[in-house]
Amino acid sequence: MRAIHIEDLTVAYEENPVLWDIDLDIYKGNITAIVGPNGAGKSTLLKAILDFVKPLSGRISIFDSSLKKNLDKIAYVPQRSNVNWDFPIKVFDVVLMGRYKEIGWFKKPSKIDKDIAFNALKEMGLEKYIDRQINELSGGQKQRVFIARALCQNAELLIMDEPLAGVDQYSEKIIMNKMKELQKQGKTIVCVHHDLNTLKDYFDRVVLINRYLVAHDTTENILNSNHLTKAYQEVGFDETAA
Amino acid sequence: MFEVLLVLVTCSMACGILGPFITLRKLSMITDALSHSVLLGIAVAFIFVKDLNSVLLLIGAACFGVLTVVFSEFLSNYKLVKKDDALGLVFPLFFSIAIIIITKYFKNVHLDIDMVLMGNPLFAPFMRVFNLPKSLVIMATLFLINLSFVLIFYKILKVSTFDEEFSKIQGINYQLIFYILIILTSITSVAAFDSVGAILVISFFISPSASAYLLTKDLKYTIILTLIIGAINTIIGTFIAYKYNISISGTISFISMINVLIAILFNKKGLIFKIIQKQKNKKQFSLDLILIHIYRHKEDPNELGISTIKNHLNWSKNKSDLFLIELLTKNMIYIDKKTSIYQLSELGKERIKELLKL
Ligand SMILES: Nc1ncnc2c1ncn2[C@@H]1O[C@H](COP(=O)(O)OP(=O)(O)OP(=O)(O)O)[C@@H](O)[C@H]1O
Ligand SMILES: [Mg+2]
Repeated sequence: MRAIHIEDLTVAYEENPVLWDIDLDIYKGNITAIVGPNGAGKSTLLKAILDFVKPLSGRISIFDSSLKKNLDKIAYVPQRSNVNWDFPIKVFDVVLMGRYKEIGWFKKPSKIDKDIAFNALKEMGLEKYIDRQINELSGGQKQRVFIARALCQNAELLIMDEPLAGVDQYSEKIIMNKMKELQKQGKTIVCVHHDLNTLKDYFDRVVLINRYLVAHDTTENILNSNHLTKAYQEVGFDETAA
Repeated sequence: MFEVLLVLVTCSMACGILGPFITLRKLSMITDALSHSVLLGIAVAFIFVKDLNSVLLLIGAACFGVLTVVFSEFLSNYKLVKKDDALGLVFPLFFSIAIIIITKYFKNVHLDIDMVLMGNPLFAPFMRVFNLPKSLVIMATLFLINLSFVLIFYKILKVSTFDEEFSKIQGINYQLIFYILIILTSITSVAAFDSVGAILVISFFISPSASAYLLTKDLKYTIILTLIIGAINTIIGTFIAYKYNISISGTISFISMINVLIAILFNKKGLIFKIIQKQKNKKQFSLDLILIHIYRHKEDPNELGISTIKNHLNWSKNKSDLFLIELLTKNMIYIDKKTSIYQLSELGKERIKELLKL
C-alpha cells in the first residue's frame, strides 16, 4: 500500500529548479528516512507533498487520493518552526492545538483532550514546562514541543523534517521508540535524517536524494550499495543513463 | 460628560478587541497608515457624491483602507519588500494620489482628512440617533461585531496568528481569516477616526494590547486585559482632561503611554521585578555556589581548606565568612577536624541534588 505517491515531480524556487523529476512511493506502515546532503531538496520535497510550494510539474497523491481529502490524517513537524515565538501562549496550549481539529473549531477542549496533550508532553519529558511561554524553552525542548503537538494529532501519516536535530541522545531514543510504537499501530512515518550511523536502528527504508532521486530501497540494501557515496557527491552526468 | 465618556470607552473596546491580533501580526502601524491612505477613498467617493456630509465618504474611506492592506500584502508576498515596509510604501502612495486629486479638482472645497475624519469626542453627543449619540451607536455595533468575530473564530485566529504552516495543514483558510480581520480593522478605524480622531484610535489599537501583552502569557487574558486596560486608561484620561480642561485625546493617549511604561517596569520580566528578584537570589546563589564548590572539589585540601577557600572563590574574607557561617549554622556543611577542610553534610548533599536536577 502506498501512503504517498509522487510522479514526475519537479520543483523550483523562482527560476532555480531544486528537485528534478522525482518518482517516488512511500509505503504505508513504514518508517522511511529521507537522506541527502545540505541543499539536496529534502525539505522542499516535504513542502511539495504538503502543497506549501507549488511544483512546476508532476502529481502527488496521498493514500491514493488528494492531499485536501487527507489533511486531517497528516501531522507535520517542520525543520525550523516559523511560528510567532513572541505569541502569548504556553507550552501546554501549543500542544493542545494538535487536538483542535478533532475537538472542532468552535468547541471547547474536553478533559480527555487535555489529558492527551499532557500525556504527549510527558512522553517528550516536558511536563515540567507546561506553564512556560513557548519562547522560554531551549532549542531542543522547543523541537520536542512540536513533536508532542504532532503526536496529539493522532495522524496516520507523520511527516517530520529532522525531528532529531538539536535533540539530545536520551530524547532521541524516546522519540524513535515512540515512532516504532506508532508504526505498530499501522501509522506511516517519514523523517528527514542526517545521522547515517543510526539509519539501521531507526528506519525500514531510505530515500536518497540529491536534486534528483538517487535511490529508494530498504535500509540494508542502501547501506550495502554505493548509492550513499553517490548521493553525497556532486550530481554529475551519468553515461549509463544517457 | 457621561455620554462623552461612554463613547470613548466603547471606542476603546471596539478597537482594543482587535488590537492584540493586529500587534501580534506585526501590523502595529496599520492604523497609522490607514489614517492617511483612506483620504484617497474620501476623495474618490467625493468625485461621485459631491457632498461633504455623505456617509458614502466614510464607506469609500473604509474600502480604501482594505485596499491599502491588500495592496501591501501583495507587494510583500513577492518577498522583495518586508511587510511593514510594504505598508510604508503603499500609504504615502495612496495619500499622495489623494492630494493630487484634491489639489487638481477640488481646490475650492474644504476636503481633507481633518474635515471628514478628525472627530472630536466632545462633539459626539450632538449628533444623535434613537436619542443616543450617533457615534456611540456605531461604535457599540462595531464592538459587538468585532467581539462576535473574535469569540466565534477564537481558535482559528489563535492558530493562524501563531503558526501559519500548521493552520494550512489544519485546513484553515488563513488568508480569508486575515482579510476579515483587516476589513474589520479598517471599518472600525474609519468609524473611530470619525468619532474620536486619528491619534486616539492608533493609541486605542496599540497601547492597551502592548501593556496587556507584557502582563500575561496567555492569549485569552491578553484580550481581556486589553479591554480592561483600554477602558481604565480612557476613564482616567477623560477625568483628568475635564478637570484641567485639556485635550481629551491627548490626555488619554498620554495616560496609555504611561501605562505601557509602567507595564514595562513592573511586569514579571520587567526592570523592577528583576532588581528585587536579583537581590533575593543573590544570597541564595552565593550559598549554593559554595556548596557546589565543595561538591566539585571533594576533599581537596587546597581548594576547601578553612583558610584557603576564600582565595579560590576570589571573595573577600568577610563575604566568604558570612556565607560559610550561615551554611555551618544551617548544618549544610561541617568542618572535618582532622584535615581542617569543609565537607558537605547530608543536608548539603540534598541541596546539591536539587540544584543539579534539570
Ligand atoms: N525559499 C527559498 N527560496 C529560494 N531557494 C530556496 C528556498 N528554500 C530553499 N531553497 C534552495 O533550494 C535548495 C534545497 O533546499 P532544501 O531546504 O530543500 O534543502 P534540504 O535538503 O532540506 O537541506 P538541509 O539538509 O540543509 O535542510 C537549496 O539549494 C536552497 O538554497
Ligand atoms: Mg531541510
